[in-house]
Amino acid sequence: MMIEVNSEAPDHQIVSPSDSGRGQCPSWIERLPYLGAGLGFRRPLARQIYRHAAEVDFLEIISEHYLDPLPFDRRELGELARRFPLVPHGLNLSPGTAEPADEDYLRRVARLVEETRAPWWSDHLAMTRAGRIDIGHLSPLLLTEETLGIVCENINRARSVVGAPLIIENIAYTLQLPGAEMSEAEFLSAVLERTDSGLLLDLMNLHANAHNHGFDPEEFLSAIPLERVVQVHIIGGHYDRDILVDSHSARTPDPVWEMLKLVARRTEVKAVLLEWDEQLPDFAVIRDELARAREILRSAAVTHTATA
Amino acid sequence: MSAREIQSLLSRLYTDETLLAWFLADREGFCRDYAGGGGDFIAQINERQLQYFADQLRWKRLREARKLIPLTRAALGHGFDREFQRYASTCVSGGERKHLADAMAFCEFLLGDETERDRLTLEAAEYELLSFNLRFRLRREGSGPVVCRAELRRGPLFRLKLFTHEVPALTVEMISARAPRNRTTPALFVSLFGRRDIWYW
Repeated sequence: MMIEVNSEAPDHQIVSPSDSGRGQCPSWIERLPYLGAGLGFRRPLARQIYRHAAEVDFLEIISEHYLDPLPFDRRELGELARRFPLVPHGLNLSPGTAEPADEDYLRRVARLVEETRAPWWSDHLAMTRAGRIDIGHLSPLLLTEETLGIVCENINRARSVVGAPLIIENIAYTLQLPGAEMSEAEFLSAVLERTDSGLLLDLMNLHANAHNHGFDPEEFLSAIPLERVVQVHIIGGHYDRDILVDSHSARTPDPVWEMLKLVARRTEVKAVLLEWDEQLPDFAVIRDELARAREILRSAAVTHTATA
Repeated sequence: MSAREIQSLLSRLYTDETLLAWFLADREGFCRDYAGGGGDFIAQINERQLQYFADQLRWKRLREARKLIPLTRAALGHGFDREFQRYASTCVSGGERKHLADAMAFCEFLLGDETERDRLTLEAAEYELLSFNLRFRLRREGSGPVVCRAELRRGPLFRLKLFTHEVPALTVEMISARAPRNRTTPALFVSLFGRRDIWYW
């Protein structure tokens, strides 16, 4: 598959992660391009996305939709790559699975990343398969040293095959597995530091987890290496009785906007992505949310520049 | 017990309704007779959270299938969800096109099931299945559980089917209103040299 890329598009240099210490933004993250406020590409939104392309700074595509593409998928991907910077977002890396990473899957992701000239790619800190069973959703991990070793090994393998930096997303979980040897924040931090990966910080996931499991999201943010945040996900969900479901189906709630401001003040976020999947709204709502996110990044950038 | 064994146990609990029901009804018996070395771990799982997560997984499969086979959904009406749950307990889907695999396998389930169904439902399911077959084939693997995967079809396909309704021209609204056009309709499904067409007369 060969994707035509607009030669006028910004040159997204592929940068290899290198060693870096805690507390300081790793140099490979500093060198990543600034993408701005983008949107998850969903086919029902395609026409509006093209119409309002100037207001969508980049698109996140679901990797799995283009790994074994039909002719239509290829044409679509070529058109998207011509018009927007693209970031592949995967669902099936499953770094928590206690089996070697799927080499064929990794090779196909590598090809997609290369052909879209993506500045980075992302997947989730989760398990989506075990043995022959495809769970069909992101399931939480056992927060143990053994799992930590497995995750790091799989991520390192993925990084050695795919030629762009990998950023790892924190998931929303309604099920908390017993037997944890560390907190989620400790586990996530250890994965990021040991593998020198970037963080895709999903603030709605954090907001939902904090609500459902009764912890303070700001404490969580204080406990993780925010300097590794490359991209942020925002969106809203819905309540199912007392459970806050991360259904990607509503406007971003105020607590998530507040957290975005906080994170953007503390570190230089490269990209914010609105992740709307269900109950797609009028595109004016999406444009409004993107403008708000862009403004938060802009204000934070002014502060960072002044501080520097 | 290793992480690998615990993950295998968890994934079965998440996706196998019968096992989950056993666990919820008799946690002690389940841990002793099924979970083996993972019994101590499984015994500590929060029952309400586990059930909620398993329900979410089933709901997601159902929601995606609804989108992929709109004619079959319209033909089954309110019975769609119940029938899909019956099907979902017989297999799990896998791979990058797991939702498509579910939709195809569900259509096959409806066509092969012994339950008496109206002809319109069967024809809607067969039409949508044959349409998918122009590009994909369904593969089943193993047992306990059976895993269904949708793969790209290689090579040509010709299939002639005689419908008693004019299914290729029907819309969801027409099916939902139970106003299908009764007309014997031969339809030819062709996949050849990269072209995929459905001809009907």
